[in-house]
Amino acid sequence: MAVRVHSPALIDRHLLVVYGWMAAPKGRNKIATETSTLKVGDAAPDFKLRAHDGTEVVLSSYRGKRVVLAFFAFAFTNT
Amino acid sequence: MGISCDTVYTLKDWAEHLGGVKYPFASDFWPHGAVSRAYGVFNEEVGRPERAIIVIDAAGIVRYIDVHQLREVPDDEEIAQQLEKLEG
Repeated sequence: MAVRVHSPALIDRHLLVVYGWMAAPKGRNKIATETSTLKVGDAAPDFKLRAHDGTEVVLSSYRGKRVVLAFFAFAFTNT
Repeated sequence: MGISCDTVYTLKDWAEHLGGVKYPFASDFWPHGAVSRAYGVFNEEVGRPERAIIVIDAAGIVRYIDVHQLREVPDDEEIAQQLEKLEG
């Protein structure tokens, strides 16, 4: 297993990012409750994507379960 | 699950950085943003998804959509309430 050495500056930056993430205000300010392609009541488009752990995620394989999709802008940011 | 246009490698590091996650972080990197586009949440100007929550019921039907301010955390209580509504 590779040993990774982070510079203190890098660690500080990462901590800031984590604290930034935690400190992001919880907001009820919705921009929209529908999208350009979807509204409530529509069938969710199926997809197959590779996940962070190397597994393949297929939406239709979750049939029978409730699913929350959380789209986010970028990893390592509070967006 | 989380979805972004980051690579799998970035998402792997991000998940480890957060101390592990209990759900998958799915990479919509290539074809870039294809799933985000299908869900209508891809920002064509900057090449990344908007922050959005989509709740899907057991039959695969969209039951809740919240496209959100980028720097605000969506309301987890409201999402939990939406999920409870779909129970049973």
